[in-house]
Amino acid sequence: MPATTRLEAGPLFPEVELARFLQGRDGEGAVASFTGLMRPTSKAGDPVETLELDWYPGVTEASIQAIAEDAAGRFEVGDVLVVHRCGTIRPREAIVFVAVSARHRRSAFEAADYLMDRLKTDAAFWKREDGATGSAWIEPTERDRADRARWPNDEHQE
Amino acid sequence: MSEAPTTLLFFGRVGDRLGRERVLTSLDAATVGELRRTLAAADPACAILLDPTVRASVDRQVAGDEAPVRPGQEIAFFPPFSGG
Repeated sequence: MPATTRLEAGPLFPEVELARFLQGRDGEGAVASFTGLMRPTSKAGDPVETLELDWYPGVTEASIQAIAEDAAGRFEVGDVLVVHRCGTIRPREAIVFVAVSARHRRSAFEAADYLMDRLKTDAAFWKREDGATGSAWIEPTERDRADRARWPNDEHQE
Repeated sequence: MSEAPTTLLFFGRVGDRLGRERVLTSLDAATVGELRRTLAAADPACAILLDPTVRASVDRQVAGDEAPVRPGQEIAFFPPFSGG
């Protein structure tokens, strides 16, 4: 299975995911992984108590799988794993974990970088930050869009 | 003979406003655009569906306002994806 993806409503344990991913290796020289954690403050600096990641069952999973398959096809990599949370997330919890194996490190780094740029803009989520000062729906930032634009020639690019 | 119920789903800030799901026992629209207007005329809260940034899907395929709708389909409305 070159591209494995999972949407996780419960907690996500990056160390467990990484250990399992490493166990599946067979002769490749590189594994790159990335863990995204929930920040305890909004962009404006206000404390955020929970992050709500709204998702469309079936559609969201398909969007993540498509991104993972694009990464697997675009770089010289072995396995690609994406585990993404949905629902209610609390500060410092893991939101996303990606891991990529490859014969050499450059491809693994690049594929992980690509996965995150795509997930941050193209994954079918809607996110809301809830805190004492109110609730706000968040859209991709200019920075997210600029990061996404580093990888041209994708079917999914808008 | 009654028609198949049509499921409407709302996500993101649209879901906050309209709830997650509504079921129409009678679909009085032939296209996505007509459905937006019919819903908005019947319920002021549904005016959010007239926001041009609110997108739609029909049976889980992204659909423009000209896309046909039929009773029994699953039609979703949502803002642009925020990403993860």
